[in-house]
Amino acid sequence: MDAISRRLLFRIGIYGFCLSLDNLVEIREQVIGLIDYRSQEARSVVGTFSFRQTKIPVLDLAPQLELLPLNSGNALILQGAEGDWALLVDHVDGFCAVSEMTDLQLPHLLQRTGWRCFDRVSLYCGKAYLCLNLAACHDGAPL
Amino acid sequence: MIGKIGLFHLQGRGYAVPLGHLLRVVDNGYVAPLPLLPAGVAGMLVLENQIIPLLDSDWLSGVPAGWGLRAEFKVLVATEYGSVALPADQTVGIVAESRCLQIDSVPRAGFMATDLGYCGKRYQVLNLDLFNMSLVHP
Repeated sequence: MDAISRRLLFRIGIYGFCLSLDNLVEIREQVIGLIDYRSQEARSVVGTFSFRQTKIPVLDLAPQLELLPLNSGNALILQGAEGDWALLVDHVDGFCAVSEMTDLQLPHLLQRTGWRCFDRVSLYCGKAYLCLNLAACHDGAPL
Repeated sequence: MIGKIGLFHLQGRGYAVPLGHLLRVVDNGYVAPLPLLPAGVAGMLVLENQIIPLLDSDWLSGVPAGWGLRAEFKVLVATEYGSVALPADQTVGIVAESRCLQIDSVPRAGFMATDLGYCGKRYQVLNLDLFNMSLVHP
């Protein structure tokens, strides 16, 4: 039987996001107390977090989305080109099959040059989810 | 052929769009939040697998920003740059231009060139192509 392609649905503030499971390593709860906030290497990186005996960078996209920094304490552990990294999220809504989502390109008037961590929108059960562009999350720098 | 226009109100002010640009009027509709919106856009209206930019109210002369998301109706219009939704809190209907009075209007910057009178009320006619050009090329 073919494996069903799925996406993770989650929230950062008021915004719904979706992400292919290909890069997802683990979902962790209650990580806020475990983050070392001293090492801020790049935009969006708020610190590091010890994951399986390795220090990995922790990203919080909220300020760049013009939201208050997150304090809900959930993190997605994601595989990057140079190792794992963590993305802070407010809430994980669940999973859905890719075939149940409808991908839509943003119309010209809603496109914007410069930093943007999503490149299109997916509809699922009548709700819009922004498709997270992992490479853009950290300004293209490998993590 | 008789020219026709669609009339609507927002915050007590009247606006008109040529019928050739008018696509439909949506009652409420699902407006999803979108971060980092360009100036003048209130959100994205999701309608039958389409994403349509919902313009904010401050592009309509005399209405402050913030009424785009609160308006009950969305007036969908076709432009050179694709469909856009205009906020409205009351729709009047479609009328023949010949039933409207031409009113001497004060020249205004941007997209509103002429005013019409209908049933004792003044309506500003929106030139939608100029309107969107101002968004793309502010």
